[in-house]
Formats: sequence, C-alpha cells, structure tokens
Amino acid sequence: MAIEIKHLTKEFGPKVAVNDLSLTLNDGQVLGLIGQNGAGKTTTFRMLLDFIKPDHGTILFDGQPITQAIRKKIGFLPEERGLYQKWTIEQQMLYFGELHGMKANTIKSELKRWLKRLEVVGKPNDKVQTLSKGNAQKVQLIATLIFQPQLLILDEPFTGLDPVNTSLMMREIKQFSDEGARIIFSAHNMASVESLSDHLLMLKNGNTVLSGATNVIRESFGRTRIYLESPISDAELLGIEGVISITPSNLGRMLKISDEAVGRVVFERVTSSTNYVPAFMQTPPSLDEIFRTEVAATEVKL
Amino acid sequence: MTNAWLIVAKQTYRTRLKSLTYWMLVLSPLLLAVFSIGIVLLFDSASSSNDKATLAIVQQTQLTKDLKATKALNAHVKNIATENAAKRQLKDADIDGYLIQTGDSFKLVTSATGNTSINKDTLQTLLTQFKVAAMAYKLNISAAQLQSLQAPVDLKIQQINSKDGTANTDTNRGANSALSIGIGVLFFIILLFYVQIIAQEIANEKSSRIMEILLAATSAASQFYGKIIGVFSLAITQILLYIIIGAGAIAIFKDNRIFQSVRTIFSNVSLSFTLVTVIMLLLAILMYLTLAAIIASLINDQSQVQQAVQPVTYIAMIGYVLSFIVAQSPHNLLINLASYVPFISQTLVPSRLALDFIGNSQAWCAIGLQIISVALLLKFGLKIYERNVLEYSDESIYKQLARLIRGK
Repeated sequence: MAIEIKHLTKEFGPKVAVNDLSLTLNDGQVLGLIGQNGAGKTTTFRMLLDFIKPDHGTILFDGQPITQAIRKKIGFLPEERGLYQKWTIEQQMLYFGELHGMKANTIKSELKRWLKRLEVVGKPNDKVQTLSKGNAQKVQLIATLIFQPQLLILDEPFTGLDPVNTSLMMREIKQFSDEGARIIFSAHNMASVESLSDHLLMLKNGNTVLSGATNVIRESFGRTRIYLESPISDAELLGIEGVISITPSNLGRMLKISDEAVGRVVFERVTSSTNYVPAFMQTPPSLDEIFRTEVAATEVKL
Repeated sequence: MTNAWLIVAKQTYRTRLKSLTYWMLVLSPLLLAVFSIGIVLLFDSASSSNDKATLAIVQQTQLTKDLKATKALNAHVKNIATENAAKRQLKDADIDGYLIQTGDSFKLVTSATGNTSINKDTLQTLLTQFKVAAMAYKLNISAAQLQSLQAPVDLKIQQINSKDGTANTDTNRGANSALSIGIGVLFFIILLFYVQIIAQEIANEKSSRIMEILLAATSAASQFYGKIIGVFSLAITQILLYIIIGAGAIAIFKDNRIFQSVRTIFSNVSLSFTLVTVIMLLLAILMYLTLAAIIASLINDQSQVQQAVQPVTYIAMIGYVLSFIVAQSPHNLLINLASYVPFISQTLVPSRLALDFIGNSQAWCAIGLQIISVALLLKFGLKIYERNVLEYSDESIYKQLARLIRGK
C-alpha cells in the first residue's frame, strides 16, 4: 500500500497545524516523524486515518482515497494507550480482530502465538486490569499487530515503554517492514528513529523542515564530527584551524569541525609515527544533534 | 464482508446482555408484578376458605333463622340456650363469639385469641334490618311497603367512552389514572437506564482512548449507529420479554376470576393501546439514546458521565411530571400540546389514551412526529458526534453544550 500525501494543509482557526506537507511512502519503507509537541505529528496521523479532513491536499492509498477495506489493513497505535480494562485479553482481540475482518478461530490461534512470541505473562482469559504495566503494553501491541496490517501508524510507540518492551517494539517494527509492510511512526527519541527509519520527516510548527532518506539527510550536514581516541592534548587539537569545539564522549572526545576537509588535517596530526590511535571516526552529526541544534534552535529550511 | 456497525452493535449487545444490572432492570418489574399478584391471590384464598367463624346467638331463634337465611354474614350461626353456655363454649374455642340482646341493644362478645373474625359492620346492618322488620311487623307495614320505604333515590353516574360508546365507570377511571402514572414512572426508569448505558459505553471508550483504535478500524458513523443499535436491541429484548411473559400469563390465567375483574377495570387496555404504547416507548428510547450518544461524545473522562446524563434526565423528567398532571387536569391546553412534542409524548399519549382523552388518530400523529425527530436526530447527531468524539476539551459538558446550541 503505497501512500502519497500531496500538499496537505490543516488549519484550526488562526493556527496552521500542518502546512503544505507532501511525502511518498513505498512498500517496506519505514518513515520516522520527528518534531516537538505541537509540531503537527498527531494532526498528520489524524488526517491519514480520516479522523479529520484536510483543508487542502490529498491522501491516496495505492492511488485511491481511504475506504473501509483500506482501514481494515491499517494497524494504529495511538499515543495514549487504551484497552478495555474489564475485558479479558481474548475478548479485546476478538473485537479488534473482527473489526479488521478476521475470523474468530484465526484470532484465537493467532493470539496464542503472539502471547508466546512477546512472552506475555498471562492467559487469554485474564482480564486486562489484572496484568502488569509491561504486559499490558505488550497486549496493546498485539492488538495493533494481530491482524497482519499492511500499514502501521504508530504514534510515539516507544513512549512509556520499559527497555525490554522498547527492544521488542523495535524488533516487531523491523519484522513487519521486512515482510513488506509500510510503517509510519513518530518519536521524540532520535536513537530509535535513526536505527529504524530509512526515511524521516521533521516538522516544526506544522512546516516541513527536513524530509528524505535518513542517511542522505545526515550526509547533507557534512561529515563535521570526529570521534577520536588519542593521547594528543586538547590545546594542540584546538590549535588546528577549523576545530571549533571538543567535548568528552565515551572513552574519547568528540570534535566539531567547520568543514569536512579539516578532518584530513586532524587525521594527519594525530597519526604521527609515535602515536597509537585506537579510534578515529569522521561522521555527519547525529539526528539527535541535527534535531536539537539545527532544528529546534533555529528555523532551517532545506 | 460484515458491516462494521453490525460488529459494534453485536459486541455492545452481547457484553451488556451478560451484565447483572441489565437483568436486574428487566426482572424487577416482573418480580414486582408476581409479588403483587401473589398477595392478591393469597388474600383471595384466605377469604374464600371454609374456615368461617361460628357465632352463637343467645335465646333468639327468629334472629338466628334470619341471619342463617341472609348468608351475608360470612359465618356459621347457631342458637344457644344460655349466656353461660356461650361463655363456656367461647372459652373452649368451640365458637368464635356470641351475640346477646339486652333490652334494645345487642352485645357481641368475641375471643381475643380467635383468628377468624366476624364482620361487625355487616352484623350491625343485619341487626338493624332485623329490628326494622320487627317494628314494621308491629306497625302492620307490609314487606312490599317496607321495601319501597327503604329504597334509596336512584342516581346513576355514567361517562360515555369516546371510542366505542361503552360506559366508563368510576372504578375504571381510578384504575386507568393509576395505569397512566405507572406508565410515567416505568418509562422514566427504562429511559434513564438505557441513557446511562450508552453514556457509559461511549465515555469508557473515549476516556480510555480506545475510541481512536476503534475509529481507525471503522468510522465515526459505524461507531455512532452501531452503539445506538446495540443498546436499542437490549431495549427491544426487554420489551419482547415482557410481551411474551404478559401473553403467557394472559393465556394461563384467562379463566381466573381476579384476572377477569382486572380486565374489566382496564377496559381501555386494548390491543391497539398496547401497540401504540410499545411503538412510542421504542421510538422514545431510540430518541433518548441518540441524544445521550451525542452528549456523551463531549465527555473527557468517566467522572463526567453523570454530568452528561443530567440534561437528558431533565427532559425525561418533564414527561414524567406531566403524566401526573394528566390524571388531574386532563384537558389542560399545555398537556394537549405537549402530547405531540417528541421526548415528552411517549408518556403523555399512552396515559391520555388509557384515560380516553384522545383517540388513536392523535396517537398516530404523535408517533409520526416522533419518527421525524428520530430521523433528524440520527442524521445531524452524527455530525456533532464525529466532530467531538476525538476532541478532549477542558470545558464542562454544559459549556460545550451551550456552545453547540449557539452553533459555534
């Protein structure tokens, strides 16, 4: 289910929630949606799911507007999670599954498989209110995935998850994308976006600030960071023209340089015949850095 | 491919059908009916039993003969020779009481421990009759003359039934106004129960954010109509149960004496009355459910359910209160107009039909108006529901409602 969003705009009174958003998501692609609170992420999801209508622009799924048949193939995990507390795990799955066009018998057998796969401590007949928070989170994830969605829309999927569930969530997202599902997720946590998404969209106050393949975006900022493990002193490094700052990082230091070419000078200086250098890595800034320094602080339009 | 609204409706229906509160509502009026019928039957069997009191009359053979002959006094009557003998027999519980004449007055002595009683009023009447007959005999008045002297003036009270011209007596009037108040109370309870259910259903899904998952899989229309239809099916189930049980009871008890007397009292409760009442109740339930669903879409969390239900309760209360007024001032202009107002008509029309203040044509007219408002409410309600069900406003329900009414 390829998704094409063209010139999407939504206004709430005087406030522009989403402004002229366009993107395309093809089979097997994972799109990370980044932005601060109020950037327009949830509004974008709500328009995708047809909860609200855009003021301008179109959203097409495989070339057509959303239909009941398409909805059935969408797995949605809302930012604020919710389950029927007084129902059993199986009752919820039967209801959600049936709404997505599954047969009761398939749901029951799939549920058993999922409970085992995510190592949920609980039986299908346990009421949700008796589950621990971690297990309830897993059940919520099962409710989103049990009907084998072809499009996953996950609003802040990692928020509130414990480390075990975070890695489970990552594993399942990768699994689904390997099987050809399209995935859109939003996140505050840049590390997850960096490791999961091959495309990213960065929003600020409804405007698209960055959009494209994750590595291309990073490269576009130039390889202006050097991770270095070497006995050479800070003073000597700062003496090199083009070295802007040095910060301690892990076992070594992180150098910020004015442009890529400076890297070569630094390399030659630290790798003299007497110095042993366990680590020298010249990289673009991390997404987190791009987000914090480039996007959150100033308006950058690409 | 099954329709999404059908899945929503089925799920709502199944979950609620298994709940205890639903069955408490359904069964409580039935239990009340069984209980009242049981009491009536118990009293009936007690009074018709052969356990009659035995009354001894001291030295009055003529009186004994007369009392035996009238049979009005529900007791065995026998003559006894002396007061002492009577006292002894009363002590031994062979008799329940004795009657003795001293001069012009009579004295009835009964045992305080006896469990069967002699009706004193009837006895007094019979004794007066006996005395009058004895005086008449002394004054040479014949039996026919005496009867004509005693006959009261004949004042007949009759009301003509507008429907079929049959006479409507005072007993009918009283019974029917009780019926009209009963309808008012019962409908009020039923409406509020279902309003509460649908408000809770929507509030639960909205406040727990399940609504977003549901709306992603279906649509606001499927949710809105599915919920209403699911809860409405519960109401239909309840009414069907009453109809089946009622019809069964009628079939079993149709030859019963009490049942037949009840039937004469409720002469207006015909098949067409039942039909109009049931249709109006169902339409009213549908209307109230839709209204409650619209208001419930404004809820943020469970604690606001009562706040949301309250405005609906006030509307239901109007019909409830007016149904009491119907019996008092039936031809009040306000009542007359209110009978056509949807949301209120469901209690007024059956009440006034029971009391014969309106005919079937007016009732069907009110039903027509109900159908129109249900259709409009369902159509425009969806728009309001759709807009609000995913909005979490900080304002109170009342403020949001006021804003809705102002059309902002």
